[in-house]
Amino acid sequence: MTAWRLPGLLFAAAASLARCALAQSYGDEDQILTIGALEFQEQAGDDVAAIGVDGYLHNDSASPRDFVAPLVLPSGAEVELLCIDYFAPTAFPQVSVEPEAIKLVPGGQTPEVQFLPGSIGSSSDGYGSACSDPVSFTFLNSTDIDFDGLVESVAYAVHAQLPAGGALGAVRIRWRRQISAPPASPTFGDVPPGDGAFTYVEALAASDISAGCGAGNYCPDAKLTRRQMAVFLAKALGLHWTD
Amino acid sequence: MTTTRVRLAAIVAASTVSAAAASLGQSYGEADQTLTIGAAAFEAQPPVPMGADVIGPDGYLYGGASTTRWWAPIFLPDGAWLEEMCVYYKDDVTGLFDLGFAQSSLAAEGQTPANGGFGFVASTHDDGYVFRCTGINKRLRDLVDLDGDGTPDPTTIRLRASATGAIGLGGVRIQWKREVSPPPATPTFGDVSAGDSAWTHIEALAASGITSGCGGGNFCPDATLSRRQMAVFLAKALGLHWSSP
Repeated sequence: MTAWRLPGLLFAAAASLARCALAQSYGDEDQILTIGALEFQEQAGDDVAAIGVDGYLHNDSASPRDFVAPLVLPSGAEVELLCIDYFAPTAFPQVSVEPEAIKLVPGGQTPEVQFLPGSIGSSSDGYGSACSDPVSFTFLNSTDIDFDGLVESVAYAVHAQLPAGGALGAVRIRWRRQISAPPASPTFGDVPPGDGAFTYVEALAASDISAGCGAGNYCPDAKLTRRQMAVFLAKALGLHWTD
Repeated sequence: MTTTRVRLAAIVAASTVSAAAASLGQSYGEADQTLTIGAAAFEAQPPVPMGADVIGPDGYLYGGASTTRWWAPIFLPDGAWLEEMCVYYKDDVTGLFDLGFAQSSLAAEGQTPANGGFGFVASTHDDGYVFRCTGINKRLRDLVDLDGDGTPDPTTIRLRASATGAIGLGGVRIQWKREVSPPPATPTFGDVSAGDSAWTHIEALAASGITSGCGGGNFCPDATLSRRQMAVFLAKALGLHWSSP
């Protein structure tokens, strides 16, 4: 069963260029999101790319081609560095990758694609890896991406250009979670902006994990019971739906 | 055993073949949050002629003269509450466009897959860039009885768009929130009865393998928490920490 099924699955996966990105670990340490070759589609809708035996996405046409893959991270993630794993038949033209933001517009406006910091170009021929300069931008689902004073919905993607004969193995993105910025006025009377945990307590309130201990307070110095901890954790993680 | 393996393969096959794309349940807590699925996450299935499935300079995805069907998988946690969906697209006065959730069951031996759908947004033949929203108010579950035989089946869920004419698909924004699962019929711990204010939450922790109580079939809900215990709870709950050097 498995023996004949597996090649079929791999073929299907390659043929459909299935795209899937997932943000992964917890805590606010650095972590890596890998966007593999399968997640890219050819921008002009032509059938010029194939996943090779090396697992890389190859541009089999005689001209440069553009590819896009969705970039999905938690809103508030800080992107720090982008790297690519490529195959370039010659040093020039390069395999290049840029992250981009697509402004989704409510009507009466024109959408626009904005390139974000973190562009990368291949640095040699053959197989290789290259990284962008360090960047620091915060990934937000809703933000004023075009600085026109209005907040809009934004979709993110990575845009790759492969020269004829070039190939892309993956785009790797180093990012980390951030605690949201606190509001201008404190939510709880007993946790003022000067409190060592102000940002964190406000983030819990904004996430509907805690409504405080009553009367507009949070009681930051009260001891926690196991019952209270259970409520915090279960609400925080949306526990636990099983089948 | 055989059944399980075959079934697993069927699930893998269905989810792999099911065209395209990405999305991620994102923030934590029970507050509303949004999931944005851009045009790059959609893929045309069945395949369309060359040049008919194009991402334009505006970042929107365009089909051809004949009907194009685009698909994007949705990855949200089991139990997520879907509130509203907004679709951003470029409409056309003569074009046809609709987009919604499509759910398909995976069939066990002797059964046939069943399909269901909800939350559809349809074109109103405007001219130019528009967005349109629809309320959904539905709990997303992995196991659903789509074929009405009384037994829930595993399902896959996707966004499905159908476009004819000069229609561009920009993206989809889904507003959703996490919920804590309902508690079991019988309490797990002797000292946390069904009437306890935190019963649902404590049961959810037990079901998640984060706590097995304080011993003797109890949870000790009124005991205060030490920093040691908090460290164990947090690390277990979040699966901390596998780092990437």
